[in-house]
Amino acid sequence: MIFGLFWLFWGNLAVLLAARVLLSYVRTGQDHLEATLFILLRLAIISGVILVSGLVGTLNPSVLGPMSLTAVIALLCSSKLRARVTKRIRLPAIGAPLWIVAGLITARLIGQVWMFPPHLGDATNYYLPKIAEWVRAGQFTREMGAHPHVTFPAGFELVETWWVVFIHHDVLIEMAGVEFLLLGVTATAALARSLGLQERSAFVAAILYGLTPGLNLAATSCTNDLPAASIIVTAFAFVLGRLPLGWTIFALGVGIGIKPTVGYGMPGIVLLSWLLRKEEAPREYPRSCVSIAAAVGIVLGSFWYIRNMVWFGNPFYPVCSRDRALFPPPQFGPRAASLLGNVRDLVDSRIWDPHAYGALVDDSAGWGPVGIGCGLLALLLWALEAPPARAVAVSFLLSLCSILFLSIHDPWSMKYVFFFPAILSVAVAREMERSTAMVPLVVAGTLISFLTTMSPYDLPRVELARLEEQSWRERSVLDSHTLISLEPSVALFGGIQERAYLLYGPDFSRRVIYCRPKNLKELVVGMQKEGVSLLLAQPATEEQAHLLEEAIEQGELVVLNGSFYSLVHRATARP
Amino acid sequence: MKTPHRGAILEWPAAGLIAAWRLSCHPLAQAWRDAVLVLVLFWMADRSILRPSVKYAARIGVMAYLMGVYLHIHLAFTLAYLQS
Repeated sequence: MIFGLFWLFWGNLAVLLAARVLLSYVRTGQDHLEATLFILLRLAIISGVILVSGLVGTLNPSVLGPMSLTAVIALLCSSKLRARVTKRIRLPAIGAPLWIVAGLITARLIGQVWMFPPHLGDATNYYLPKIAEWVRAGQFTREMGAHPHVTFPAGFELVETWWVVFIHHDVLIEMAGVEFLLLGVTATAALARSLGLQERSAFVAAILYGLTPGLNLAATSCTNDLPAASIIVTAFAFVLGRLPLGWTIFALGVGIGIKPTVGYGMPGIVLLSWLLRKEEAPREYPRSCVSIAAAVGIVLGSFWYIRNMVWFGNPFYPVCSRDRALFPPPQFGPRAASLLGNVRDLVDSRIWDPHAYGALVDDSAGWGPVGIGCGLLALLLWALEAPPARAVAVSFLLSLCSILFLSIHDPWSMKYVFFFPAILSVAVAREMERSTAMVPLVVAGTLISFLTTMSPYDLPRVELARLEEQSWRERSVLDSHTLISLEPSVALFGGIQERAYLLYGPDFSRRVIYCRPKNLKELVVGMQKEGVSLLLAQPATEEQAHLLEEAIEQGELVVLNGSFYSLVHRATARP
Repeated sequence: MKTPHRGAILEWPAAGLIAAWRLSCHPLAQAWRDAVLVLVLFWMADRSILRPSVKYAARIGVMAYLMGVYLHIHLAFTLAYLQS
């Protein structure tokens, strides 16, 4: 672990320095955009490193660590590069109180990263099992888990892999979400500055967006809705800041590689570009940089779709495929009923958040008291007064509608539009700039948001108390008293809702074998061949249920406890 | 005499439409419809108020009202959930 932390330090330092060097070549000349671009460059470098390592089979600390150390030495030894790295960074002049608030929020986020293990169903069923397989194998694997959604784009999982691969443990995995939250808040500040707000007000907007309840809790949930939202806000900030098109393609490419909903939000971004088409760009940019950025974005964005095309013959697999039962069935293409249902639910009830806060925003929007109480009115008044604000507000609204048009109408659809509170936050900050009498109201709302997002509703107090009792090495929401804790490997049959990721253990020490037998013989022989006797079975289809019944009737399996079974005729242990 | 602002001709029909919507609404949706009604009426008033201090006081009042509705609904559901 000590070595892991050592290499993690050098890895992060190398990526930070590399991002700084690349940023110095871009030279936007706009401080607020540079902060956003810097974080995006860092995330893109991390994604690229993990992508290449996963492909060539060097996904382990003994390769990535020394490579990072070498990169740091190389960057610091070259006098030309050193000059670019050590260029002074100007911090925003916002005053001590705001820095203290930002520090408090950051400290709480780090505490949540430390305390919360991966726990949400979506994350543990289909986002994270592939990371466990990659880290165990030291490379990308065809095996990614039992859930039909495991083949969805995995751009966010690349960054999560970065935070686990060095230490071979998932205690810091939520740092990936925190990095994307940072991207979202800096992009919000950039939007605010481009719309004419002062530096201090832009920082306030960033804080308000960062404390949006749904978004804030999503940062430590290992789900990819926050990263997708942050990328959309970033793309809006780049368009509004008149950065060349290549940088917007770069951001959108990174985003589409994370989640297709980023692409669904593009109509609003295109509209804003069109509305601002006559505005002069603040400066000329090196064409080579812009072209390279666009190319990198296209590669990062298309990789997963090309992989699916090569492996399954369908870039969107398993969507539109009949060979796998999908749960829940995703929507492909626009659907008027989805738009109407999503908008009706949003305006009728979800906007008031009639549910306890959580990352999946069940039957609510998660926009918080400041966004709804102050933001809607502030945005309405601003949009009526000022054409630039009107253009941005209309563009955000179009992106919101296009995403709701293309996303299935279900209780969780509002997590796809986490980007929208960014413009509400900017509007509130602008209103506060004009009238300081608003400060107490906004402070009260912000304080309520802060206090009510200490933990998500799906990690209740009893569960948190149990997590506190565990040491960080073993911290997991999997009940430690289950049979599995004694076994070095476990077979999983069906079980698409069995939170497969938890079976690996937080240090990825347990082997998980995914059984896909066509008959009883294949199940038994398969388990014997793998040297595993413990089976976790939760049939997902009727055929699987019949096969399990047959195995029990014929005495091949005995029921242990709940969904756990033991193989009767054990084979010799796997070498 | 102050010249009526542009768009004033649209305001009263808009308020009429909102009021009709409010009257026909489903009971569950009342909070939202009430809020929209308040927003539209406020917008109309806001455009008529000339003194900035009164204007901002009115704005803050409406924002506090909306935040109060939000907290009333959200906290009621959250407490009910926590107690269940």
